[in-house]
Amino acid sequence: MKTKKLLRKMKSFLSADQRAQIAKIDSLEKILKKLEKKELGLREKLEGEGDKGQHREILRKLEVIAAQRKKGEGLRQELEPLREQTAN
Amino acid sequence: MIRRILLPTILLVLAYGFWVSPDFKEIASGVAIFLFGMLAMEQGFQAFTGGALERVLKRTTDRLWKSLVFGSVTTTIMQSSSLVSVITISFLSAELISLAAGIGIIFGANLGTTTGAWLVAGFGLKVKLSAYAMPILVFGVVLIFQRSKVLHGIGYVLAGVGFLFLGIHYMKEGFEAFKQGIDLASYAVAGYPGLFLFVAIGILATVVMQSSHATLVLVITALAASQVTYENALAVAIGSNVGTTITAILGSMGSNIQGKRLAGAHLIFNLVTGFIAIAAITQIIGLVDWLSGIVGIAHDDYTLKLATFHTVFNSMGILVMVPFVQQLVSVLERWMPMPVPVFEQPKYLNEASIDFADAAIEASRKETVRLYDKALELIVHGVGLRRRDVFSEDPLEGFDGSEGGPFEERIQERYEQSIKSIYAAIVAFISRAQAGKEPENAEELLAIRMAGRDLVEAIKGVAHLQKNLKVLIHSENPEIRAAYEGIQRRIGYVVREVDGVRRSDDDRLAILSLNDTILANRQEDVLANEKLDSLVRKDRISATTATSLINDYRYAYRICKRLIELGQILFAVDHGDLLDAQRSLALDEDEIDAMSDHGEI
Repeated sequence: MKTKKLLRKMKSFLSADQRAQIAKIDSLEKILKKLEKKELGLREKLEGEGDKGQHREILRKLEVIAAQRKKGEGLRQELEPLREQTAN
Repeated sequence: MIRRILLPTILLVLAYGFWVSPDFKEIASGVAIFLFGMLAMEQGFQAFTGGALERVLKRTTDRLWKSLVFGSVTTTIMQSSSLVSVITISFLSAELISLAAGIGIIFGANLGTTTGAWLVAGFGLKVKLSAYAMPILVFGVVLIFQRSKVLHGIGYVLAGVGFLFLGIHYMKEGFEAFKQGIDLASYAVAGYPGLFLFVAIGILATVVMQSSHATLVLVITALAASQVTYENALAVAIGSNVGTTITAILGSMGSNIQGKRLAGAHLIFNLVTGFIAIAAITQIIGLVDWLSGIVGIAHDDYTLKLATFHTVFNSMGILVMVPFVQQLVSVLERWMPMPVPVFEQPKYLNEASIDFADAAIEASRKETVRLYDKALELIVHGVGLRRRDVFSEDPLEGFDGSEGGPFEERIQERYEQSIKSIYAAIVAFISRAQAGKEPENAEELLAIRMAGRDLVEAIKGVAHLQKNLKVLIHSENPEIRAAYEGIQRRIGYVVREVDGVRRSDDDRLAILSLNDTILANRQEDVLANEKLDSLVRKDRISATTATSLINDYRYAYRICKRLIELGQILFAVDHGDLLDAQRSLALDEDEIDAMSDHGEI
């Protein structure tokens, strides 16, 4: 299932022209950086959180961010060769 | 400004009046009881709408002559044109009859009321309606407690009539002091000045005593004792006819616009009749003499001649006005138009932006966000939460139903007033703006339209959910109470999260941030349903309540889902390719399901 979706994403990237594809990879990286920053912020918050409910909520948020980042990293790895190709 | 100070001013004036004058207190109580009677009667008649009474009324008032006969006969039986006119106003307010039919009944009532003068003059009789007030009230209240819709309706009608009588009784009692002061003999004036003066006295006396009958009794008595001249007595009769409309005007205060129109028709009819009677007084006196000769009334029997006069001039009024009933209806509809409900109007949708993709998208988004602001308040209050609780920093975990605010009871009304018109304008604007646009722009416009639809569906969900929520959140059973508090908290949490994304400085992560809220909604739903199964197994809640809860969990889940979806559309603003990148990282249904299955809350 995951492979299928990745292929679909790949297809959409490949169908655009190369310059646009590179711009998309850049956007992806920007979003991934923002997610990383958000994750760090949440981890800091988690340490000082005494309320059980809030603690649980932050953990869930972290779990979701982790899944999103994992998905994004996978996508970036798939697309990285394309950027290298363009650079060459 | 005036509106804001009007009510306190009225209350202060009333309070001062009660303090300085016991008579005023009695009169004001009479008016209040009278108006309450009107409301009760209207409610009673509403119980019969679509039923037998409607059919009977339709059959007996579908032609003008039938309305005239109906008004005339009922007034003769009830011996009160005022009562018939206020009942007719309540018929009209309940939309049981048309305005034209109502006018016919009022005209007929004016003829019917002249029989009172005959009774008083001929037999010295007077049916004292106030004596029936208490028994009617008792019967009415007993019937109100019955389960049958018909008996319940009859109960309200009877209670209404009882209160009307009681109200009139109190008004009369209160005006007793004034009545003592009216000594007709001391005002005897000849010629036209006397005519106008006594018409004015007749109006005043009837307004004060709330009964043209009482005025007629007074004048017939004075006439029999030769305290007043025949001509002046006739003038008082004319005045009483005009003055009696005050009851209908008073009655129409608590009714809708149709009732007010009818009271207007009553006033116009009685004014026209009064003018005719004044203008042609000599001719009418001659006609009365001639008719009296024919029916054998003695030449000097002025009391019976006064009754004849009363009948003659009211009949003349009917003859003159009947051909103009339709014109009268048109005039009244023009003078007193149906109030146009105030609907919210769109603020950002303008013609200038419709042809430009970016401008059209921005206008649609801003308008939908405006709609969201209005809807959010309705949703929050609709589930019995307060804005300050939802939008505070405090966790909602410890929130329980007893801390909630009052439930917004008028969801449908407020939806019609503030949401529907804007939503309709957005749909129309987007449909037009989509034409000829690039597919990606058309798609974005469509997404905004979907966000509007999500809002509307969330409100409708709240309206359904509220029925059980507002009752069961106060249940004696702690399990049920906790379940509904959980629903309240869940919706409050989602509203807080969606609004948090909206207010966040970083709208570049809006879609991704709300992924977490989708997961939370799923997990809460699964957990709530699992808990429900366990409660049913342990027999802690009944199967009926469990069914209600299953439905309400479903409503809550959908409301939250709609709110999250619209948040992902409305608050994820495009910054170059970042929106696409966000979408490519967003977790889809399967991924969230997978997390929900093994996740804990």
